[in-house]
Amino acid sequence: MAVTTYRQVLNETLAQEMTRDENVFLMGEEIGVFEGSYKVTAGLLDKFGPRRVRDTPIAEEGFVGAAIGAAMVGLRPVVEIMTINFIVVALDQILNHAAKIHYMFGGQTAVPMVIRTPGGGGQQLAATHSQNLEVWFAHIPGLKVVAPANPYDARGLLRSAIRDNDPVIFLEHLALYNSKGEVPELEADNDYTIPIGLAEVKREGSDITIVSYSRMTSVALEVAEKMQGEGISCEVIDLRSLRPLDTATIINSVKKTSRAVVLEEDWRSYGIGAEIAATLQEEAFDYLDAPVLRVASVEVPLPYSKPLEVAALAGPEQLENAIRRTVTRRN
Amino acid sequence: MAEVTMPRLSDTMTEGVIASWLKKEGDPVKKGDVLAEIETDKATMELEVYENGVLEKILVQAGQTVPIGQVVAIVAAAGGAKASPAPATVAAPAPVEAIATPAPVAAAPVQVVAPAPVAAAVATIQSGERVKASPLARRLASEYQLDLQTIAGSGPGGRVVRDDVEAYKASGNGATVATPAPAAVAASAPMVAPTPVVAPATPPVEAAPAPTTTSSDVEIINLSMMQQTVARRLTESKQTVPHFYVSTEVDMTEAVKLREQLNSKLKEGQVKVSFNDLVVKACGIALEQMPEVNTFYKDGKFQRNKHVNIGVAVDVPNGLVVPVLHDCNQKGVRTLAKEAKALFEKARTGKLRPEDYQGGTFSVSNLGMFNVTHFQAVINPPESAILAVGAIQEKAVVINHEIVIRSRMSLTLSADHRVLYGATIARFLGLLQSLLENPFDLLG
Repeated sequence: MAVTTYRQVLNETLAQEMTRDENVFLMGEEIGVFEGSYKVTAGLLDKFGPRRVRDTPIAEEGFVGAAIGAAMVGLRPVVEIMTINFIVVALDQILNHAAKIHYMFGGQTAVPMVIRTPGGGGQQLAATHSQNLEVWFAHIPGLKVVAPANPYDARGLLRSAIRDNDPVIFLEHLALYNSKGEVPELEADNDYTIPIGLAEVKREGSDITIVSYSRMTSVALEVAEKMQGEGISCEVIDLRSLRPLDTATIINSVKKTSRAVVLEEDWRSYGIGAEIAATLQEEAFDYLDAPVLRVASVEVPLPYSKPLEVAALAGPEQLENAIRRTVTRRN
Repeated sequence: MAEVTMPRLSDTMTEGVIASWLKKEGDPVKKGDVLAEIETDKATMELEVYENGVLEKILVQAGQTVPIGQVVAIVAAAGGAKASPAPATVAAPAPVEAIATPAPVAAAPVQVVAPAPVAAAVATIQSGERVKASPLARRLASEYQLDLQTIAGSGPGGRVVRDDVEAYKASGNGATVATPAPAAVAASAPMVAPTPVVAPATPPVEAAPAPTTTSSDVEIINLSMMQQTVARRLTESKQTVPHFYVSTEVDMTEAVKLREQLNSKLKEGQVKVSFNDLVVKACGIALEQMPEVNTFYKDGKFQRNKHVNIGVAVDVPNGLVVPVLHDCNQKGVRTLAKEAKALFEKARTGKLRPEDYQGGTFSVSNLGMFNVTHFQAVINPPESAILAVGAIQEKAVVINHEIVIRSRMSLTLSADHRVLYGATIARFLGLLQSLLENPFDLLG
């Protein structure tokens, strides 16, 4: 095992997949000559050449459309959208073409495409560059959406995404690129994959279930550790996959703990937590000892000012409050 | 979220000064916490918060004077909900009355300080009120066959949660426990005093382990839903109904003999007839003959009830229920005895359904089993009368200028003076007396 950064794992996995399968190629803004705005694709242009690592103009709709076309004829493009905020420009291509072509063409062709994109805020990139829009894609039949929270999961899920024949949105996070984690040595890791649609219990507990994904998973784990000191045992579930959602793992956990809180960086209304809360009350109603709370970011365009940004983003303090409100104790 | 306003703390108060804030913005607050001290025209008082949550914003600083009703702070309510539920209120729909006891008898059972005011909504007999309980708590209560109304809730807003149900079960409540002989409906000791007069059946009073806070001097216990309902309805009764009381003493010597005969050879399916059953039957007949006593005062009119449904008060853990026997004028004593027994059993084991305690038009409360000589009960709204029955005691009385020993029982009727007047009640009691002293009239 080695300790590696999330960024490094992505870089290695992309290279490995491109070596394994010559149909895998990369497209995106600044990914080649500039080596990627977040350096995820560093060195890949040198290694694989311009046919496999393609710099695109600033035209998301255009190059995502091109990728869809490429996928339809048998290639396996991995498209980078610089941040999820710009994916909106390509929304029509993703929603109306990538997600639907397999169905509308009666299965005659698939769209084995991956769109990699980091979401989230906290770097003072202000309102239009700090959003969490993954729930929009989790809502669309025909797409898959995954969100690894650590380097180990990132490798396993990226492999699964690239090898999947359906369009997959691969959600990264700006604040995760430098995060470190243990991963097996690349050459000796049995080529492990993580199935799409499978959540993981990252920490076992008995008093309350915290559900989160991406950057929020590490926040949840920190808070869980702190709550242990207060005598509250938290179980933390890392979703890893937003569509399909692993409801079984969540429900089994709540059957054990009888309480749940969702920690999400997106906005609360109509967000990820809304789906999970609805599912729990539908399928685990008689196991709930308290309402399912959602801890999300304040519903404002994210401010630029640092103190305001910190106040607006969902964080450990809000999660702690929610846990204490939910785990009421008879004293 | 909830706005905290300057409360009216005395009837002459028009404005108050926030003397000091005891919590800061961002502090979590629990129902019952003191937020601030307020100086009024009379004294310094405490400003309490009525829901769990976080003190989000202080709008009025210490030292400032504000008029009554002005918002002084914002509390973000628990659970992220935008509106906080009013504390408590949802509780038993039971038409319920306290066993009020005057001087000679021991005081009423212990009740404890309520941590929050109960909302003012007036429940009618017909509308059922829900107990606030989590789905898990409901399921467990149902599995354990416990009555949610008797379980005090420690969750937000008085919600009954799993821990409350588990603790209640662990303390042994809700199970049918053997009581001393007089308790059961089927008690049948001979008439030698102290005669077991049946009803309010009392399982051993073991208070449910309601959540408490303890200091060295006091222990604060939350009320169960049922207790809250009892408190609210009886306060309303005493505050709005002009009670008056009329008593008489009935000679039960013949009734004792009749009962012995009725119970001497019971057939299959028959249950023992208790003295309370005889009293209920007597009331049934009397109410049919004097429908003015079977009448409510409602919305400024008299509502004459067509059915004679008599509720019998039953003491249960953490509360009081009054299951109702319907059409007592039409049913025979044996039928009434059987139904009463079944109802009391349900009451004791927490299995009463709303239809079991709705629809009453008159109530009977019997403390005879405790050797209570006489007492005055509180009327069960919207009824207009309630009969309090004392113990049957052997007494020396004068009959035909001679001192003889007879079995005597006191009856005290509490009546609503908006509907009933002294003479009416005196006649009603006279009817009861005549029926009980000539008990074969009870049979047909």
